[in-house]
Amino acid sequence: MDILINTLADLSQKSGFAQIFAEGGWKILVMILISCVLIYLAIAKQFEPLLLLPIAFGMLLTNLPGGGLFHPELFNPKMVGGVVQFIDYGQILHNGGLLDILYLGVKLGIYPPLIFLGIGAMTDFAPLISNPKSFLLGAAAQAGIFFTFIVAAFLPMYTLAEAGGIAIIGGADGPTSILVASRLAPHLLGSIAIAAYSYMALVPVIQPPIMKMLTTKKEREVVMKPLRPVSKTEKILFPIIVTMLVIMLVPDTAPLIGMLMFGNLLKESGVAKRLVQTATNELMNIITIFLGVTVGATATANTFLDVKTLGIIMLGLIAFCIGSASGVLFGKLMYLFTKGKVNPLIGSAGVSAVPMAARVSQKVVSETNNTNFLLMHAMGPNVAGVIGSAIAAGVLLSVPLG
Amino acid sequence: MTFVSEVISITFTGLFVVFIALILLITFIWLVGKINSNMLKKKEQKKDAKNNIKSTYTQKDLKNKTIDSSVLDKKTIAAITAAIVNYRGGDSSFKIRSIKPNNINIAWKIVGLAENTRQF
Repeated sequence: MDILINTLADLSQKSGFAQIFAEGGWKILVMILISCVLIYLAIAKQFEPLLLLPIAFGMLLTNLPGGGLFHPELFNPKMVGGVVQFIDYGQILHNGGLLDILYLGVKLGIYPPLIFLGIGAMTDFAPLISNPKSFLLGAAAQAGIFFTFIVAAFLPMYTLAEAGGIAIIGGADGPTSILVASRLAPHLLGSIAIAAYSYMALVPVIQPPIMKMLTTKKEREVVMKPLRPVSKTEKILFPIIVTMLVIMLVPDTAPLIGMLMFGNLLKESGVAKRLVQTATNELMNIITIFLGVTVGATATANTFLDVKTLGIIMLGLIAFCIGSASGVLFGKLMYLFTKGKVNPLIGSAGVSAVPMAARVSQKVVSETNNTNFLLMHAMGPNVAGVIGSAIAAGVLLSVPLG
Repeated sequence: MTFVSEVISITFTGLFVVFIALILLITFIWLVGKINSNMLKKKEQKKDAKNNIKSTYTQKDLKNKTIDSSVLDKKTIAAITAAIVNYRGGDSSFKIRSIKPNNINIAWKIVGLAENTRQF
């Protein structure tokens, strides 16, 4: 009987419930609650469910005490023999849990480029090729990243590197945000990823008021002339030219731009249908699961329940708003220069939330004239924004941010 | 470098690099588009010229010339052969050696005349 009681007492001591009632255990309950709210948003409200659901569940798993799935301390920099050693692979293999092993794909910058491979294989760049001026709108929308960088840098609670990791939320690109955050501010990765994907899901809510506020009815009524047809040769040459030019200019963009354009070349060449099928289905789905769960696992109580997280949420919103506004304002500039041939509403699609931002442009223009089909014109800046945000990420990774 | 100047320089450098990269891309993509459309135009022009030559050749030769079957293209010979075989009820025991213009201009008129004057 004593043995039974002792065993039960021992088990209860080791259980998660005991840790909740220990000092600081309330944080665990808060994190579990937050992860449940995110799961609800992903399932019931369909907020980017493909990523938010794995992220939310990863957050739940890591915050259940005693699970041993993820150990953030294994990924903290250590000093070994006077040299900074960032990852102790031996320690991870011996003592790591499931999510520690899978997290290596994030830490080593493998998952985001592979996601971009799938995105490239799914993307049609024809609207951009037929109207290359759309690149300018994609560039203008990246102002949200750099403006937010300034604001975050001047806040006393963030370092320059953390400011860079937060600012990339303005690119409205999940894999890019994760890659930059994992390099510049890995301890903020969970918060940054959750903010990025939440705001991407909120694009249809955030953008329309900004678009209507910055444009006149006359500007919104502009009907753009149909796009010219694009030949197969151009579609094949496009990814090759972009790869060579952009990577030569900003070598740090190589993982993202390289994989994006490789995926697109596989698709446009037409000679690798099986590879395209794998890239867009099986590979994307596998990497999405691994990426989502492990990124969510980094959102532990210590890193997430911090005033910095609140700042990230606010700054993420600022980044999105500024990015959308700068795209629309540049669209107005193009409207003036082309004497009314460009509808400024396509400017907001320069944020790289593909294809949501383009759909929002179509929706807003339909409210003025429901026979005006702007979707394909808006797709140009939308996909240009993917390239633009990847270049911006490359710049942030290449400058020394301390 | 002070903190403020560092932040501002990073911001402006970043924006500048993004714009320059995309402007260069615009230039290259536009050039490729131009070269491609010029090449397509030339191809179409060549195709049109070939079609014109063929039709001119046919019209000229219909006027007062005998065309040897060796200068006709195979498709034309096949089409004429098929029409004659059909006219002769499947009898293909012949070979086209030449085509002579008739006094009557319209070939269909000849066929129509033959059809209407055929014995029952």
